[in-house]
Amino acid sequence: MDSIEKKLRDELLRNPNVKLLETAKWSVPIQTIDISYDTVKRTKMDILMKMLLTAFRTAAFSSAEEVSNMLVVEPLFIEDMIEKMTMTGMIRQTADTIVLTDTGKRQLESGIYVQPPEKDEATVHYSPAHEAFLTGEVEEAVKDTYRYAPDNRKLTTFSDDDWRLALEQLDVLIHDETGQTTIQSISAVTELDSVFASCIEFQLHQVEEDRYFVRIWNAMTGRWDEVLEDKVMQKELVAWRKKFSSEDV
Amino acid sequence: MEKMEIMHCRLDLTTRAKKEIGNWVTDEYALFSKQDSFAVYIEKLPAKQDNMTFSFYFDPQGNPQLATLLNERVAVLECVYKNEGFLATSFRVKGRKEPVRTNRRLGVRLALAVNRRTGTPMPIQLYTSLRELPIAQERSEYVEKRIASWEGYLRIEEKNADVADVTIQFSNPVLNESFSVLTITCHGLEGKQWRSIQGFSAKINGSNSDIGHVADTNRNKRNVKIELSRKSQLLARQGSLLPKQTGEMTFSNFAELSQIRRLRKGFKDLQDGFAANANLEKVLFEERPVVQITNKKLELDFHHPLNEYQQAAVTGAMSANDLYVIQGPPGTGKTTVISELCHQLMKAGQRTLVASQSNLAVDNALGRLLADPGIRILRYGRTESIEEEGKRFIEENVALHWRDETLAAVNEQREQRADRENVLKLELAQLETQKTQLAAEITVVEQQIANKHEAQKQHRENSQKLKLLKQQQTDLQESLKELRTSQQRLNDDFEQATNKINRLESELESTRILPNERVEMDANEHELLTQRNRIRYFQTVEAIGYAEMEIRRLMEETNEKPSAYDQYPRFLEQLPSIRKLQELEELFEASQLEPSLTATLEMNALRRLRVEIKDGTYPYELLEWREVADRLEKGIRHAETLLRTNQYAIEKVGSKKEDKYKTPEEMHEMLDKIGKFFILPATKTTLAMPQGPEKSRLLDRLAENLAYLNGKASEVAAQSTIIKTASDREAAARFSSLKNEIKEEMELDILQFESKQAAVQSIIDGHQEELRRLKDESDTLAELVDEHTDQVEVETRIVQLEHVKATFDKRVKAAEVLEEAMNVCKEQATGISTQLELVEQSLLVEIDKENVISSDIGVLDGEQEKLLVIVQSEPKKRLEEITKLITVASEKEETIQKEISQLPIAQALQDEWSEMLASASDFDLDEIRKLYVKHANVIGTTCVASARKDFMEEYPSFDVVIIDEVSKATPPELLLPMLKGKKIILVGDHHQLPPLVGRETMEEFIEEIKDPAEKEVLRGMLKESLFERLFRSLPKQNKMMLGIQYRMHEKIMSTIAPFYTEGDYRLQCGLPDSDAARDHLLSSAHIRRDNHLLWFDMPNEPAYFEAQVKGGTSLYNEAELNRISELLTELDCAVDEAKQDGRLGADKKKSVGVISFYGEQVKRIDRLIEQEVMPNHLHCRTGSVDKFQGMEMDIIILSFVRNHDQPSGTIGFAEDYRRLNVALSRARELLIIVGSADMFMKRPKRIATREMYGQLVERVKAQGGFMDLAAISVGGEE
Repeated sequence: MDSIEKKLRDELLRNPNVKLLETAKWSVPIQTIDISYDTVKRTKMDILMKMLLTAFRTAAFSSAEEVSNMLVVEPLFIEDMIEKMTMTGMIRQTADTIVLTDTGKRQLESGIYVQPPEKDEATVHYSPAHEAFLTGEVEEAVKDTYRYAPDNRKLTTFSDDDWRLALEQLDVLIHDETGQTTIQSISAVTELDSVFASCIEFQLHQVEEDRYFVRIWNAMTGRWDEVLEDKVMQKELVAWRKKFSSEDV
Repeated sequence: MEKMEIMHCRLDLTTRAKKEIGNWVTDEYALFSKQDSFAVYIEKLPAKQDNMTFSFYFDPQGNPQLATLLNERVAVLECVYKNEGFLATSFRVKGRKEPVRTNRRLGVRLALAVNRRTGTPMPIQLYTSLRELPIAQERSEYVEKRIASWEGYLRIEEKNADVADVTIQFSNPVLNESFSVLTITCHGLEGKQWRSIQGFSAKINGSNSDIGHVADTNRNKRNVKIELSRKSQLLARQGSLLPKQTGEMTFSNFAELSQIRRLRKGFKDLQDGFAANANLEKVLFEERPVVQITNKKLELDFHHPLNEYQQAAVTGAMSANDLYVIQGPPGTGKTTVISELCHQLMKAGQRTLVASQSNLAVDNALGRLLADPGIRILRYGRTESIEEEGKRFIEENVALHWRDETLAAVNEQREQRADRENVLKLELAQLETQKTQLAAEITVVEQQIANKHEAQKQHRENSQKLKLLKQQQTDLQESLKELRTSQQRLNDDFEQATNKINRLESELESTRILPNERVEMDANEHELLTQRNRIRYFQTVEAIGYAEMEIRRLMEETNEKPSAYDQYPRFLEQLPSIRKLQELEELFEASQLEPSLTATLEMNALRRLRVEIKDGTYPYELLEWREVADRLEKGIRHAETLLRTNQYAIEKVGSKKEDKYKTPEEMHEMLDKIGKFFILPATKTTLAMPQGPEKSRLLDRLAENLAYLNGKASEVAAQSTIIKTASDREAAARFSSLKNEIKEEMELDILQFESKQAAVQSIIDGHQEELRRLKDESDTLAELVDEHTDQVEVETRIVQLEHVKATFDKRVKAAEVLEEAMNVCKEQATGISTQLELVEQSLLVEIDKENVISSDIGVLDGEQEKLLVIVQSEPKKRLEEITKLITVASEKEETIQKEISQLPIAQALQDEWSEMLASASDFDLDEIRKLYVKHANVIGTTCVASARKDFMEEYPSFDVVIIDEVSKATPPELLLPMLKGKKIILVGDHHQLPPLVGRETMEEFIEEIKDPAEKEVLRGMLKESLFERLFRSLPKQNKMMLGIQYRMHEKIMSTIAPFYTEGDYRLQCGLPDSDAARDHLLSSAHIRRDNHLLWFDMPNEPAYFEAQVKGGTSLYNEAELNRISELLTELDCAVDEAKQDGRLGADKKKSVGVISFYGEQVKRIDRLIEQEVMPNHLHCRTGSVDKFQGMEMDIIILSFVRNHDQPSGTIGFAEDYRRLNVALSRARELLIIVGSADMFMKRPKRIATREMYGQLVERVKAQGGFMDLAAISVGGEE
């Protein structure tokens, strides 16, 4: 019994009302995916302002309402922005259109690109059992596999937004004083060999209230895994009750 | 403040004020010249000596120069209104935090003219405002008391909550299976603390934040159970909550304390005048709420489909001032009303605070607002305590939420892009067609306009003509009318005249004398004449006879002269010689004449006079004198006798003359004196004396008197003689005048007689003349008469003849009259017919004229009618319309063309926008968050959180504050959000559970009060439900009760209906078909499809009794648990069956709430569900009835728990009808009660309670839903 298992077991059994029924060790398959993506670094200009400047530069808009309709943004927000930009001298209202001032043009230019796009790569881990990207240490292989492990998910079923989300979890983007890095596009995804998250399962009985429950420690995420616990309970509670209560007798 | 109008007014200062200002600056001029004008908040103080008194608070923000001088502190100037200006009586400088702007003060900007006695008086508008300003300190006794009672309560609460932190050592921490509870073994807790730390927050020393709060303690086991916060639960899962097995933990009541302090501050703020609505305390705490009533109802355009009650509530709330209260029984759509209100307020550009007592209720209310695009919700509060529903709206998530929504919307538009172009082009084509059509129409319309002009001209002319013609026509008709009237009248007249003539003619016919009759008449006439002459003859003869007889009589009369007249001359001859009356009488006798009456009377008078003169009784004077003479004689005799008796020589006594007494009266007086002297006693005495000088003297005196009397006696005698002589002379004169009278009488008599004789003679002469004439006549007439002629016959004949004549005459007369009349009539008739002819001629002429005009008019009218159609047509308007339509179309075309031209641009822009949104960085989101927060228009938070400092600073006030589930909040809790609202809308239901007011605290506070009556008053005030009181006492304009519930099947609703029956009000079911809308689709051994209300009865027997956990207070009921277990299994199977039979979707679950009045029972139900029943097709939720308030489920299983045979008969929590109401009103489709009917119907002490449950049982039975053990087992066997 390794130390982590002992530590966990001791912690669980600290409660005198709890009886350990069984322990098991197994692994949950994890898909490993390499994502190639382009990032850009921009100065800090919020997107609504940038979008408005772009819009006013590109086309002739005469009212906040027109812009509002196109961007599907509340007129109130647009009006607020237009007022702000007019005050800071970035735009001005001509006879029937809103145009960028020189300042506005400069600001927009600097707001768009600071550096040319950069290519980058990152590896993410997807657990089909959790239907989620997980972060943490993974292992190459282990003897038993999680008994309710579903099939791997096909990469084509993921959207770019899913990848963005996965990348955001990794904290691969750098923000500093000079600007903000954002993912401009996902260029490629490649599935690598599967890895595994090792888990320790404790089947327990809370005697006082006659409650059966399970604790599953996920070593990859470093926490008691609620998703797996729920799944196991849902599948097995009835059987346990039958099995262990008859054993008691 | 800056925009306030500056008002000028004078300011004088008392010496004291000057001195006090002197403490800060050199003098008042230095102070008040700092600024041209001052921002001042004026508070009214109670009047001093009838003078309005004020405190001026100088706002440091509004008065920068002054603020610099006073180091940002607040200056306060006490002033009195005097001489149309102010007189400052004192000046103070208060701290920087001194409140300045409160709702009790009047904010003004004043330009002060210092120490100027004259000048402009105070502006009337300022004066009026000052007059109307309420005295800040004033507040009704009732409000005072009510507020004081809550303050007192909170004071005690604060005192009790102000407990020092407790730090303990712990060991053996144990997490429960769901990581929600941490149990630790405690060291160092002292006796009382085991109880007092209940509810305290727990913090592991060395870490930054609380891990949860103390849920339970067990002193025996030295255990403390801590309910973990969600964050701590996550940490616990990672194993990082408790790095070590032992440690130090601190329990703190700070959160509770700060909460109570916030509540207390609420009251302070209210008193300090910081309520956004100055009227708030009167609205809330006055015995009858003082609200401004409005009868004006706004016309609203509703966003949600609302029933009449909901519409009325929204309209009422939008229209009301100050306060509006909505009473909403379960399922009546309170949240819908709140959503609609938020929408309406958003449209009105107002910012709304949605507050409630619990986070859950806030999130519930906000969750419903989602679909409304104009509404920007911000959920304020500790992220931890906010439910999933509300999480999207917390500040850190709003940007993300907004991003997601916007991105989705943009992407949707991008997808529709291709379609969009087609749509636009189609629209464009349609517009083109429309424009072409319109252009074509313009030509037509323009021609129409020209036509119209022509027509108008023609129409005008025709009108003129018509007018003329019609006038003529009218005139003609008028004259025709007149003529016809004349004609008619003349015809009538003519007819009348003709009639009359005819009538006259026929009359005349009968009246007229015929020729033969005329001969007869003449003969008659002639005979009459003859006969009359004959009569005349007879009359003459008779008259002659009479005349002769008369003459004879008169002659005789004249000759018969009376004999008396013969005596007259002799008598008259002898009369002058007559000297005596007697002689006169003798003469009359001798002459055989009778004296006339006057003579006789005079003679008698004279005779009497004679006698009287002789007797001396005439005249009276003489009589008087005789009396005097008699007395004198008597006196003389007496005196003589006396003297003689006393041998006095009488003879010597003469008579003495004396003039003193003259008249008879004087004489009598003198005699009285002498008489008295005679009879004086002294005289008598003296006389009786013998002779002596005295007697001599007396006798002399007597003699003297006698002489005197003698003198007087002769005097009187002389006087009498004179009188007598005069009388004789008078009598003689009268006699001579008598004689004269007689003579004159006689002479007159003779004269009369003679003239009478002459008159008779003249009559005789007349008669004789007549006689002659008669004789002449008689001679002439005599030839008509012979001896055979009989007068009587003649007379008879005359009468006959005269009668005949009279008849004839009458007829002749009548004929004449008739003839005359006829002539007149004929003349008239001729006149009339002439007139008629004239009139008829005129008529013919006029009729001709009229016909001509009429036909002219007819022609013109026809013409006009046609013209009018053209004139009334409005081609110009149509032209305008067309022009407008073309303009609109062109504009639209332009817009569309612009859009089409911009389509590629827009597409590019939208693509870019979409990309930007997708890759939005934290920075972007933060900017959006700021924008969102700035424009958030619905803010949601709990009552207590609305008083948090940062929130107060960010949102000092709201246009409207909506408070949901009001009945669950205590008045102090409600006060906090209310302070912020200019208008407050309360939503709740006082028939559901009331707030938990710390009863112990309340009792403790009440105990402090000495006066027992006061105690009761305050107890009552603390116990009452603010919501209920407001709802009952507000005017109808300020409240609404929602009447239609949509949640429950009507059979379920019927169980709570009695709680809401009030006056005419009945709770209605808004489901059009309850059976269809609330079909649970289940069918099992005990549950039929048409069952919506079931009661599984537990006998009131020991085997089914309640039980209590060891060491605990809460109750559970094993028998009921078993029944619930069976029921849940049965339901789970029934749902499965329904799915298999296709009644229910395969992925559907029924939501089931299993609730109870007792926490222990709930805990056991939890375990039951999780560990034993484990239903697959049910979505179960458990909880106490109190916790379930505000929730709803498809199916509710309600466990009553209470079942015993204790004499108290108590049913505990279940006694409160409001709790039962909540319990019964959670289910939409099926309500299952598990409990002992006997226990609840028969055991309770209170009749009302027994009745309440009795009614419930009756209702269940009436619906065939009551199952006793027998029924249950039968059902089970099926």
